[in-house]
Amino acid sequence: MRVMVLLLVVLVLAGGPVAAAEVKSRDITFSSGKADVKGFLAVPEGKGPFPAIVVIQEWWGLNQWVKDQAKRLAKEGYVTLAPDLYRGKVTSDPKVAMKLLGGLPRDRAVRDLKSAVDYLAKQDNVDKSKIGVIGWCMGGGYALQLALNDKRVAACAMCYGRVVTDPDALKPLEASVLGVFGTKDRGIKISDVRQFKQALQKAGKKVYAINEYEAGHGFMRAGGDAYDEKATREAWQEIDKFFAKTLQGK
Amino acid sequence: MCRTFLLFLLAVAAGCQRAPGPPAGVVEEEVVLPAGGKGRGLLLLPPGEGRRPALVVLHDVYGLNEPIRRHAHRLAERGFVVLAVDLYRGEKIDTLMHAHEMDRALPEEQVRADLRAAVDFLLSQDEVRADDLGIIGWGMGGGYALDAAIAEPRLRACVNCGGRLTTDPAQLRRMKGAFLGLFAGKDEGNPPETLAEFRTALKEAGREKAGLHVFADCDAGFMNSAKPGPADEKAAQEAWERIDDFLARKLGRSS
Repeated sequence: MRVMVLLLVVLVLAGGPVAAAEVKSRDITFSSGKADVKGFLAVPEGKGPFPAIVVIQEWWGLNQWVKDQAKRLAKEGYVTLAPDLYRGKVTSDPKVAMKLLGGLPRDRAVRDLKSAVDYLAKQDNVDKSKIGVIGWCMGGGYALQLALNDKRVAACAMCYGRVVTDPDALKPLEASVLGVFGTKDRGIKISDVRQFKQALQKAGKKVYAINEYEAGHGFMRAGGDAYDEKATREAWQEIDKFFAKTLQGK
Repeated sequence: MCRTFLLFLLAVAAGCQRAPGPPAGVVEEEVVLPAGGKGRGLLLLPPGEGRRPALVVLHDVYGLNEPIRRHAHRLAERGFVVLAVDLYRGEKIDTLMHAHEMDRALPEEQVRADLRAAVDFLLSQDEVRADDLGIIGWGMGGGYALDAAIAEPRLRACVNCGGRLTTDPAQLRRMKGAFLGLFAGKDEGNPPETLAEFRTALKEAGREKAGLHVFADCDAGFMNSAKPGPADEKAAQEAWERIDDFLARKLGRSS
């Protein structure tokens, strides 16, 4: 009896049975052109090789929330790398975030992301034929840009990011696409979302799903103004299924 | 000629769309751009006769609002035919978060199409001297101005006020026109490291002549303010002197 209680206490302290799949995480540095870029790496328990996912920050920078998403995906069996596109800057002040997003050179961000794929592809515990990307907000747009600029990316989950509505511009895309959009988003209009889906189909691309949730911009981030718990739960179910199918063959 | 077809004279009945404030003789008209008819903007015609140099003016994340309209008028008063493009296609911005949602959503191909249409439109105007076409933008619009200058050989001069830069020499090599960049030292978005990367890329592209100036004590958007007058009067005045000088040298004044 006493042993049982003790065991229970240990389990609770360890965070319950969910924590059974242990994730190790650490800060790493990788090369992008002549520069060194920092990133947050989360690795599932076991030897692998695992599929891998590049996790792309919102306009706030590489904050704890993004790291938590990277760890969450690692628990599902992916090696995840969240690159620091702002090169050391992070904020919770929208005024500063506006400036950081506004000044980010797009060519450099895409180069950093491709370099993150390079890094993952070189890891012994990564199956380099199974690399995906996910991003939110600014990172949602960059998730699509990475998939357009890097044929190694097999799966692209973009959460309320900038869309591309020209079928010709979508031609280079090899990845399967999952779109997560909010109908109350004041920037990405639902008409744009549907045009994006049509353009993907017209270009003959692999569309897993382009989903619309009745929520505003940034609805998946707990603590944010637009956070929507139900929509977030539903979106994550889709994301997990999407990556399981495209990267784990389930 | 086809102006009547292209232009959307909103306020003929209402009187006019003339700017309030000092009547410098600039005439302002709302226009719908060709190629799809979805792009729009404000056309400002300076007083006087003959063909004039022309400028595309691009707003920051807050849209084509009063501060940007004042900038556009200021440039028209100095003799440029000005087309201030509304990249948000009519949507007005109320809050910072709204601005962010619009900024991060703006489809790049839509921007490219609107800017191509803007250049076509200006070059179709009888008042415009075709060889002297430039582009200027603030914040978000500064970044798009640089993109346009790279993509569009018809643009002979580009001013990027505090906007996004590129670090890719191959892109900068394609830029045919002259470049002036004005930045704020306290703008975390364009830190010294990024400006240094841009300088290196300029050098690798053989474009060392491009002008770059940093206003050390200023914050982003120092030339723009919701209130009349810029956020930083003295620095904004110096910035304008640099812009006026650059544009006069590269595009010339009205003749």
